[in-house]
Amino acid sequence: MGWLFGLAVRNVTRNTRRSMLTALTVLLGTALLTLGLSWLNGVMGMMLGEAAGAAGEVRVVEIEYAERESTLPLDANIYDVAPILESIESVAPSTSAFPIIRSGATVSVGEELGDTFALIVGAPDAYYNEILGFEEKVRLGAMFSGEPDEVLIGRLLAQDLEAAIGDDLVILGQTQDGSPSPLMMRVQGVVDTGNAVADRQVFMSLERSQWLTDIPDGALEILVYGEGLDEAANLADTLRASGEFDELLVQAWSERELYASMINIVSTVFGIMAVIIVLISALGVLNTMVMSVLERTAEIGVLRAMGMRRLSVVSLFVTEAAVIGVVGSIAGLMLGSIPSFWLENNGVTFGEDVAARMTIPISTTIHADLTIGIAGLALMLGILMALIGALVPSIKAAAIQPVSAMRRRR
Amino acid sequence: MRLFLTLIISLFSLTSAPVQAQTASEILSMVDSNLTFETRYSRATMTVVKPRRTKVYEFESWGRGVDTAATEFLAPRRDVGTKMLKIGGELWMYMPSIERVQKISGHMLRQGLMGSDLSYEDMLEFSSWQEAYTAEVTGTEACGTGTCWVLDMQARVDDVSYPRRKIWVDQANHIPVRQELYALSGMLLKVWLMEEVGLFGDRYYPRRMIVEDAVQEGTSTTLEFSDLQFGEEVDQRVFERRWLER
Repeated sequence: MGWLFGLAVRNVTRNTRRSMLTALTVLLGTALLTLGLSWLNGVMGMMLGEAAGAAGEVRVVEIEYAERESTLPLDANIYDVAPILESIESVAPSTSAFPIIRSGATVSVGEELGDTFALIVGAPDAYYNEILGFEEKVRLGAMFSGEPDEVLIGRLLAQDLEAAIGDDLVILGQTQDGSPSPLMMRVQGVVDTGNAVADRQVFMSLERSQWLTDIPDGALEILVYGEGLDEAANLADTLRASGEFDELLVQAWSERELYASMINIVSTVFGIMAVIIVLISALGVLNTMVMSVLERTAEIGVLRAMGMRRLSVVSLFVTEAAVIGVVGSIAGLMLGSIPSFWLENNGVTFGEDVAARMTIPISTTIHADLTIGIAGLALMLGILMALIGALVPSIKAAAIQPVSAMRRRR
Repeated sequence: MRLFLTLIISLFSLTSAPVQAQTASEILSMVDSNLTFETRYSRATMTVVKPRRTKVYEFESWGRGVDTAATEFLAPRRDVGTKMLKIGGELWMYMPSIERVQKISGHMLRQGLMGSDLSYEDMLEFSSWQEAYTAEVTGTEACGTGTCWVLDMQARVDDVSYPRRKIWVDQANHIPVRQELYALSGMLLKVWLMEEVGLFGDRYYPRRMIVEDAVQEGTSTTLEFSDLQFGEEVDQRVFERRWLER
C-alpha cells in the first residue's frame, strides 16, 4: 500500500503544472463551498435564532388557533392562562412561560385616526427583557416604567408615524368578537431590533393587550423557553406526556409548519449548492485526470505488462487524485475561510424593504457562521470532488490493454 | 250540479283573487311600506352568539329616510357611549375611550357591526327593495300559521349588499319572515328571520330579528326591539356630526 502512495505522490510531482491545475480546481471549489455553506449556516442560524426564538421554543395554543393562525384569530384564544401556566410550572419547573397576544390594528399619532397598520404585541415585561433583549435595543426613550399606558414602538414604525417619545399613540384594534376597540397609549420608547418586521410593531403590556382584544384573562399563545432550540422537541414531548394539555396543541418550534418548511428549504438549497459546486469542480478534475491518463497510456501498459492488476491501476489514479484533493481542499478551506470570517464579523446588510416583505421576521443584516462542522464538510466535499473527477479516468486507465498500449507508443 | 260547481269555482276565484293577483312588484311595494319609513326610533338588544362566546349589546337608534341613521350604544360597559352616524354612503364612528371619530367607508360598511352578523349597511340602511331589485314570485309556501309568497330577487343596481335575495313574505302582514341572502357567486351568506311581528300604527314590523351566518357554523345574531316608534318627531341634531362628540 505504501508503494502505491509513494508512486502516486511521485506522479503528482512529475507534472507539477497539471497537478497545480487540478489542485486549483479543487481549491476554488472548496473555497466556494466554505463560503456558501457558512453563509447558509448563518442565514439558517439567524432565522431560527430570531424567528423561532421569538416565537417560543415550544408553544401552547388552542388547536383552532393553529389551524387559522395566518388570520390572527382572536376568538381562538386560551381564555384563562393561569391554570396553564401553573401546569407548565409543575411539569417543567426549569422553564419560563410567557402568555402572548398578537393582534392587528391601525395606529396613528395626533388628532386623526390614520391608516397605518401595525402588529400589536402584548406580553409580560419579562418576555421583552429576557427573550427579546429590549433593554439593550431601546434607542430612544426608555423601557416600560410600570405605568399601564406605555408602549414601545419599532424604529421603522416610529419613522412612518413621525412619533416622538411622549406622543399619544392612538390604536384602533378589534376585540375577539370583532367589534372596534380603541386604545390611547403613550410612546415610552423606540426599539431598534435590527429586524424589519419587528421594527414595525407596537409592544405593550399583556394587560392592555387583553383589554384591547377583550380577552380579559387569556392569551393567544403561551411561549415556553427551556434549554434552547435543540432541546425544544424533548420539552414538547415532556409537556404532552404529562396529559395536562390534552385539549390544547403543544408544538416545538421545529414542529410548526412555517419553521419545518423553512428548514427544508434551507437544507435543499444547501444540498443543491453543494452538488453543483462538487460536480463542476469534479468536471475540472476529470479533465486534467483524463489528460494524465492519455499521456501515460504507454506507461500504464508497461505497468500492466509487469503484472499490475486493474484494481491497482484504479487505486493509483484515485490515490493521486486524493493527494491533490487533500492539498487543494486544505488550501481552499483556508482561502474560503477569509471571506467567511469577514462575513461572520461584519455581515451583509440588505434593504429594509426586502426584510419587510419576508413572511418571517429576519434581521436586515445577515452574518455568515463558519463552524468546525461546516469546515469539515467543505474539506470532505473538496476531497470527494477530486475522487469523483478521478473515477472515470481511473477506470479508463484500468481498461487499457498492455499490448495495444505499448504498440501505440511506437 | 254543474251550476253548483260553477258557483263554487266562482266563489273560490273571487276569494283568492286578491292574493293570487299580487305581482312581485306589488308585494315588494307592500314590504317596502312596512320596512321603510320617514323616521324611526328604536331601542334594542343585540345578542351576538359565536361558537365560544355570547355577547349582548344594547343601543338606541334613530333613522331618517333610507340612508340616514344614528346609533348610540348603552351596553356593555366597554362600549357605552360609542356612537355611529350614517349619512348617505358615509359612516362615522365615535369612540369615547379615545375621544376620536373614525370614518368607516367602502367595503368596511359590509363588515359585521360590533362583530355581529349584521353589517353596518344591514343595520343603518333602509332602502326600497322595489327600487333595488327585480323580483319574481316563484310560489307560495306555508310559513308559521299562514302562507307566504316566495320571491326570488335579483339586484338591478351594483351597490347593494346582497346581489340576490330569496324571501318569504307573509301574506297576512307583508313582512319577509325569512330571507336567504346570497353573494354574487351564488353562495348563501346569511339567513334572516323576522319574528314577533306587531302592528305599529299602520305598519307591521318585527320585534325580533335573527340573522344566522350560513358560512360560519354556530354564529348568529338576535336583535330584539324593546321600543319601536315610527313617524314620531326625532331630534334632528342626532343626524349631525357634532352629535357624535357631544
